[in-house]
Amino acid sequence: MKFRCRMMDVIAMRDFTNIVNVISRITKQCTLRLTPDELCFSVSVDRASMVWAELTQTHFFTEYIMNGVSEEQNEIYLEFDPTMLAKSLGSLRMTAKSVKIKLTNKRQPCLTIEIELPSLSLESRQCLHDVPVRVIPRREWAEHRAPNIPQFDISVDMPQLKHVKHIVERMKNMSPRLTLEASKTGVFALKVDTDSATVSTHFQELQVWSSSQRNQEDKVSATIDIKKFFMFLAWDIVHPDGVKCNIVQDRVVNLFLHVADYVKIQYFLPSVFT
Amino acid sequence: MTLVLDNVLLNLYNIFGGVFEKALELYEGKRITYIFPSKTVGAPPHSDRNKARYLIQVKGLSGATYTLFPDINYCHCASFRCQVLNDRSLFTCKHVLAVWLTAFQIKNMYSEGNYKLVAKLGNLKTIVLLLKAINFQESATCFGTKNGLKLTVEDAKCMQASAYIAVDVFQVFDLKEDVIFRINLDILVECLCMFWSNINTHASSVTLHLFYEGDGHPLSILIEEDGIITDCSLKTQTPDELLDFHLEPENVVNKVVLQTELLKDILSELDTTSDLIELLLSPSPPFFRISTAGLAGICHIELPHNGELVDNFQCLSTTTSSYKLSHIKPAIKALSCANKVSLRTDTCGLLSFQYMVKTDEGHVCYIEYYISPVIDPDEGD
Repeated sequence: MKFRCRMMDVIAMRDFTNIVNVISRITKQCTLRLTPDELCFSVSVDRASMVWAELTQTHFFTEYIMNGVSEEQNEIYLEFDPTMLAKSLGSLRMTAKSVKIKLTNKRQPCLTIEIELPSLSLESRQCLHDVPVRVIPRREWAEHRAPNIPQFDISVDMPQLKHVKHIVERMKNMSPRLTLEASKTGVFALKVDTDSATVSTHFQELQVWSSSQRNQEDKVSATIDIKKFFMFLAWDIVHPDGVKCNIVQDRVVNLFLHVADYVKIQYFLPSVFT
Repeated sequence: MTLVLDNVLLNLYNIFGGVFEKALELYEGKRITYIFPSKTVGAPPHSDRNKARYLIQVKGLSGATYTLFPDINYCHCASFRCQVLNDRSLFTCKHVLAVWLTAFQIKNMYSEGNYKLVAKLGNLKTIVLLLKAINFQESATCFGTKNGLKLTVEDAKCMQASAYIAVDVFQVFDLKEDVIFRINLDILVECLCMFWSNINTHASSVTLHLFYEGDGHPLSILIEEDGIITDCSLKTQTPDELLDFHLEPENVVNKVVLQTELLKDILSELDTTSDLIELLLSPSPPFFRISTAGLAGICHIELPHNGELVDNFQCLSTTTSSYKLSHIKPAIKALSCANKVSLRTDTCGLLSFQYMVKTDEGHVCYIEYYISPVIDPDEGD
């Protein structure tokens, strides 16, 4: 088993740090799946997948070497605390010249991060972090596979995340639950219902990608935990090129976000019963 | 489409005769077209007579079109020329009458018939500042009168704060009768703040519409920005009786009017471990003193009673009264948005702060706080 990679590009380093940062705010334990083509961060809550982020290896890394367990199963699954990784990458954002990430076996398996920082003298400085990881054995791999994507009742483009963020930030103070509603006419609504008020925000003229609804007026809705939804909005920092909101009536909300074709993020929010 | 009651139709027929019948035919045949400049499409044509810029075209029964001005009794049809201008046998022609009927129906549609209160705001900044300043309790009692809107918040029957939003702050303020209701202020402020961050950065394009139908109905607030519409329906309650705090002019002992800068620094640096705050006002030295007694010791702050920052200092006798610091705290909040503050105390020690808030458009709004004093049981009088 072998893994080493190297990042040189400033923008790639910034994006990578941002992604790890957002994940670190969501969870204390995440899984990193390494394949020859991509890196996948995945977060599961109660065995149900919540975040699945795929990063295309070629965009981020100038050098990428990985050998999996065997020829047929050319994959590595690691489990670690993303807050530690995020802290280690902290110095990457502004000044670093390059970074090497490799899988090492010191006292225990570690992801070793070697950051090359510029200095005033000719010699460059090097900063080394070891993030302890657990290598997931093959028999547990099944639990960490890519999530099944259900058949949606409606799939609609989300409005600009920054607008949604302003609104949800306020709604969060009113109620713990949020209802997302979309209709074939391209109207997307956020609703909270409390004892003393009903507040809803409507966005119009959004692209509808697919819909199982017959009538124009039919609405698909699901009620979700507002805090989890708000955490998703933190992905705004990666400047997504498109965000889609997919709803299965009263079951699940799936949010899909992509940056060009090198970052793809699936986010699952189960519906809560009211 | 029911336009009006049958007896009204009959009366109209009695006044106008056969012309009315034909006008009704034109109206029901939807032969009337409003022509707006492109920007105001859909705006209520009669919301403001002076701003109305549109023309009306009537397609006559013969097929000819007649272009009319709104609210002007003139038509270039033959019937108007002969019967109205020459013979003076009729008051108006069928085309003009049909236009009036349409205008009447549109006006009804936009004035939303039953609303007791309809208000519109083009800038949220003022209202957010004012409401935030009094938002120390969850619910507020709202009064709508012809002078504007007043929101009152009360805490434990010993302090009261009111924000007065003057009628000229609103772009539209249409009140059928005085209204009073209680709403959840926290949620109202949250809703208004959804767009708050954008207001400070650039010229805002946010508009707010407020509708209230009457007792038992919710207060509907529609906020619109760039096509994003937030619909906030606040359930209203019948308000409890509010305390009637007021200072009779003859009971006012001391009155100080100052610029807020003076108080801002002092009140924000008060010793927070102190439970009470003592206010001394006197016509002789030390004139104006604020004292706290906290863990760190006793602190006296003497303020100037004259100078640039004090506009008026009227003291009849020396008074000392104590107030709970927790009651003063909400009143400190308003300092940051106000320009001037008037401090008054009466014979019982009731303290009133009146803040004057100037809005960006030059309107003046007020925030008022009444704080009752802490009576010292040891004093025994």
